[in-house]
Amino acid sequence: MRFVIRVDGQERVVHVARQNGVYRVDMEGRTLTADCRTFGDAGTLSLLIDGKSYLVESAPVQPDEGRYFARVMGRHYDVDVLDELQVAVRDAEQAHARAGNYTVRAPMPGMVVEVKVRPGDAVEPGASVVIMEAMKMRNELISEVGGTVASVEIANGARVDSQTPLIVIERT
Amino acid sequence: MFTKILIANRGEIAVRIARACKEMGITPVAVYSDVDRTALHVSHAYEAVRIGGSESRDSYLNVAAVIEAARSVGAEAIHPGYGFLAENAAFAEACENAGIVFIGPPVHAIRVMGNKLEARAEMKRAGVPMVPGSDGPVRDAAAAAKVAGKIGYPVLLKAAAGGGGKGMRVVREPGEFKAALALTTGEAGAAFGDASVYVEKFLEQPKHIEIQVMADGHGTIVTYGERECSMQRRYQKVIEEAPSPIVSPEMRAALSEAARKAAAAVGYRGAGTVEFIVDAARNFYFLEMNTRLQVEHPVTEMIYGVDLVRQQIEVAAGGRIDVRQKDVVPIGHAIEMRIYAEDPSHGFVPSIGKINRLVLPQGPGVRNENGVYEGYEIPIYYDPMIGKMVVWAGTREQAIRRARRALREYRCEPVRTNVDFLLWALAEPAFIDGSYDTTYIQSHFNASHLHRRDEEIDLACVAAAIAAFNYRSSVRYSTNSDSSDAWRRTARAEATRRWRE
Repeated sequence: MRFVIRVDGQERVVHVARQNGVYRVDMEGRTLTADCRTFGDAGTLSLLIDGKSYLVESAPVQPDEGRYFARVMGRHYDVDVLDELQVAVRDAEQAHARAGNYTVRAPMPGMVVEVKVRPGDAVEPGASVVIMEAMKMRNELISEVGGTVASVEIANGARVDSQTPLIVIERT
Repeated sequence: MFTKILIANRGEIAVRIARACKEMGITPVAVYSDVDRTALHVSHAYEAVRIGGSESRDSYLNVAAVIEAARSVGAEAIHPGYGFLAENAAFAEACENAGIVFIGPPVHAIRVMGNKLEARAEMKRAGVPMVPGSDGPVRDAAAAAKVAGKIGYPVLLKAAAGGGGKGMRVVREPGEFKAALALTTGEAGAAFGDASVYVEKFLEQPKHIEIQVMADGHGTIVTYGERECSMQRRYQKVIEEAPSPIVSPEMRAALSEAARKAAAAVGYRGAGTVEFIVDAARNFYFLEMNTRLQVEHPVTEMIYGVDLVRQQIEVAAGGRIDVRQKDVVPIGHAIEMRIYAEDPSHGFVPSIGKINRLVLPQGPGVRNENGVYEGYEIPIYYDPMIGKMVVWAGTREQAIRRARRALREYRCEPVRTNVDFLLWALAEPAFIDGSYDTTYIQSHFNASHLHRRDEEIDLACVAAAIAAFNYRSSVRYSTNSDSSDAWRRTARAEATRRWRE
């Protein structure tokens, strides 16, 4: 199978084939032979590559969207494993999303402690726009895009559910 | 000795206390909120009582419900753990009135130490070194500026009833007082129901070092050295270690003496912690006394070979401490890492949901104080700390190596944890050389610093590619996801038209 893998801002084309119980992985002009066994459940992989042994977690998060995670040496990576169809879909979605307004949503249920912007304010990418309290912790929510605040959908003190739209930003 | 103790808490600390009870032949009784019926601490107890709804105020903060639960099962004592009702004087008093032993200090000690101004006055009388500041609350900007002029800028305006970093503000010049005073008194009144505010010298880049005390109420006070807790994010401790890398035996003796005076001054009994802030010249000043067991108590237990929860229970039952101070000698080094369900790469947003896979690190010198299990759903109602990992080794360097080795074994999926962040912190030069202060994380951490190594990215790609290969080989694969919203469906339809036609 041929995949386009996107991780940590990089994109790679990877071919995977299975022969006699081992996986042949072609990646960026290199060919690896991985003896892969699952430990207990499908998400825990013991990999032997070139005599080196790795215990790695990897499993689908939203497989229909090509979203996977991998945990390597104690560190978490979000990995997109896409086929050509999904690459086309993803790029079209992103083009679509780039054209429209950007919405800052509540990542989890909680209470809005402070709305830091007003309609018309200019925001930089990464700017903190809302402070939310959830699980006794204050969390700053940021805008991943730069632009102008088009609308503020909630008020200080509002209780919100996960994915509630909070701030709409018109991209510049 | 008690035969039954009610544990008025949840999570890892409730499990910790239940374990101590069992080892002492005491029946541990859990309390739980609705959502916590399936929490780990309930199954670790021998008896369990429902005390109310899932919101803390309906259950773990509900004084009447907790007391009634203790009565209903015939518990002779209540252990409050930390947080919730642990430093609530009214709760301690309610226990007393109900004829139940509160496993903690006398009500008077909780009251005095719970109010920063009263605590300052008491500590000053006892001869404990204090941060220079006003003797009482400041009434207006002029009075505040007068104090600040005497002790020197910058200063801190602090709410007398504040805590946890809330209700304080830095003032760097006289002109700022008016606005700062209005804001701080307003906040203090609203948050703590007490608008009094005082002034103290603001120490830039201080270290946070605290002394563990244990008093038996029969005149014996033992101190178990210091813990360094300067690795903090937004006034929340993240990593604690003992001994402190900067404390010499002479400084330890001086800190311990000050802590002993502080405890004696309020007639202390049980386990308590006297917190100090330490400036660059290693002068130390009283910050506050926590009148309870601390989250980070295990690092002290590891290097002194003591069970602090057991001692708390023994002392609460009227026992005497049979440890002589000269026999209290630290061995080796311990580091505690708090494991939070949060995502350090996205602003530390709490991560909730079900834990599908949990593998706790093992091996020599590794101790997990854990509050969750595989299959557990992390609720939204409480603190996101899911456990603590403590390591012990013969030297500080070995302890750091062990901590890093163990963190790499930590598996908690798919919930995000701060393990990546802890790995970053333990590799920072200022942590390794021990020079870090309480501002270090704030001024040095950036999500882009979470180490990303090429070799790891290669492995992540290989593993995810194999996972995707296996998934697609075993499941009838469909791209028709109905989880998306309207614009996504439109985009998908547009993008796939070419293949469908």
